[in-house]
Amino acid sequence: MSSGKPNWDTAAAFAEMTEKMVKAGKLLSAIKDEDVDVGATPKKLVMRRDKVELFRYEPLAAQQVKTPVLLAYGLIGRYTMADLQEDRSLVRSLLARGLDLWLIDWGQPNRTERWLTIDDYVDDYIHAAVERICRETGHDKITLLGICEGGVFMTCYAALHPDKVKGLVLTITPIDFHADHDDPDTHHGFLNLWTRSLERADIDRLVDTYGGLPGEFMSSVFSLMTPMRSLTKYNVDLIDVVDDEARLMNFLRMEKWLADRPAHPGEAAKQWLKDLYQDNKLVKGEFTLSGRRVDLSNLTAPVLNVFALNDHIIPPTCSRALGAHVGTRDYSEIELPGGHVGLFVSSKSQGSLSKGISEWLVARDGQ
Amino acid sequence: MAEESPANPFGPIAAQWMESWRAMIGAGKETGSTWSNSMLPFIMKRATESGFGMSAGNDLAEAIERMAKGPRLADMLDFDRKLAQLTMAWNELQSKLAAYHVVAAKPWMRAAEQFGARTPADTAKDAGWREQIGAWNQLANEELIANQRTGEFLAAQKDLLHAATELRARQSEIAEIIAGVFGIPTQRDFDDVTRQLTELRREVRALERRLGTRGDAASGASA
Repeated sequence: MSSGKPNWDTAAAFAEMTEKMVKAGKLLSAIKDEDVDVGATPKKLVMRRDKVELFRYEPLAAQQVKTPVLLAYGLIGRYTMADLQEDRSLVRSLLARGLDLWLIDWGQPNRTERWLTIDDYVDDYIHAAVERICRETGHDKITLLGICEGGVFMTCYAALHPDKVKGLVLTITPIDFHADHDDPDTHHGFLNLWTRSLERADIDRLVDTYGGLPGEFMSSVFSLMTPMRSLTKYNVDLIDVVDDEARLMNFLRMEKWLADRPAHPGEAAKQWLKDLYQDNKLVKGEFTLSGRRVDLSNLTAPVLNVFALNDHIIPPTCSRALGAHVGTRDYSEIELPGGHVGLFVSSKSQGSLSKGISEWLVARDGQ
Repeated sequence: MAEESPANPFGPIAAQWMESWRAMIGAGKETGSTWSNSMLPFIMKRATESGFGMSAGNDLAEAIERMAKGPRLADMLDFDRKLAQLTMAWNELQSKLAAYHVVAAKPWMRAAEQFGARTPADTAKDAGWREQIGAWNQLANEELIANQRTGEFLAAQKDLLHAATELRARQSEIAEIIAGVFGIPTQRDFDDVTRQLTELRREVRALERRLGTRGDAASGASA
């Protein structure tokens, strides 16, 4: 109960918050959409196939690694996470280390892409991109760099087309979709648990009704994983950054990336959720694409597997499982502190990720 | 064991009237369910279209007339049936939403209990408003995450998702009927077209690969 005396500390804190909220409102109204640029590192469009585009990044340093590297993100979210802003960009860091970097951008899939399968993404779009890069550069093999679901696509491609792959670099990539059981951290693996709790018929019905896996729906599932963080983002967190222009712009770029979540193509979503998350077919050697079984022991090129120790979306145990299945002896792991997104966008991880990847590539470039 | 129902405070006549009312509602529900789930609407539509066997046999002229005039009695009955299903789906969603909220509210209550039961030392440690919010966030976060992993929560959200998808599917059915009346392509038509387009692309690209031609060269673009 109130003692009747005014609590000056609380009143002062309230006044401070109010002042900051007003300031935040003024600042945000002055910032235009084009001011919050993501994925801005210069690149050249080389090929367009349906909505999928292949880009080649403009070099930022003398070439240190001759073999071209093709970067692919997954279909949940956009590649811009790897190129959020100038000082938080895996893309820029790799270019600064002399890589010839290429990018597949899946574009903005919608109901038109309802019938596309992972088979199409791996055996058509990635394959066409690899062939194009080989023709443009004169190489007969390239290195693949996959992020999250993009890492699964790259893994499948490398297993099905080993003759085209000089090296495979995976970051935060799930391989054993049931290995969340081995992760003792209860903050990890909700996505695995949630997907397994769904009825197969409900997944089909959801995808058939919406023509895909709606991006906003997946966003809400991700928000569940960090519940209080999701609730305090637009009040306490925003107030914390509003005094600092650099932090505010970083906050807004993250928000822009989070909001840019196209629908996951329908049939590919069914494969992702049922074949992989529920049935764990990849690690069982039962996953088939274009009528061919994806055999992980066909991964004969060198493999680098990078994962984040505090990844609540893809538990590290799910990524680490790859080591037991590859066919190559040249298998390496880099475990880094941080979370699923933080690995790419936090100031702390900048440098360590690109350093690990580029050193691994340099060591194998001449072989 | 059947429980003995308590005497109606408004007397035996009121009790009899209420029982009759309950029976009537039950019968109405059963009729609605029979209508919604049976072949009855379909057969009614077919029968109405054929004039219940009483027409003069000029089927072609009638069909043309029907195409021009749009829905008739049986179509409207079918539309009613779909509207009823939409309402049922909406009711189902509300019920699942309520059940979900009950499960989702539990961790908040547990967190509030724990927050209220903190020792004076802990309270003194978190004196400022930021510290208070931080302590609350930490407690609530742990409780929410723990709750999300329970079978009860997963079942509630699965039921909610099922109900929401069902409602959306029923809405699409209504939209398709309206679009059909006005000759506007439906979502189903769009899905058919995109399916054919996707399959056609696959065939063309498979052919290109067999012939050794490079399909991407034609569609390639330079910035």
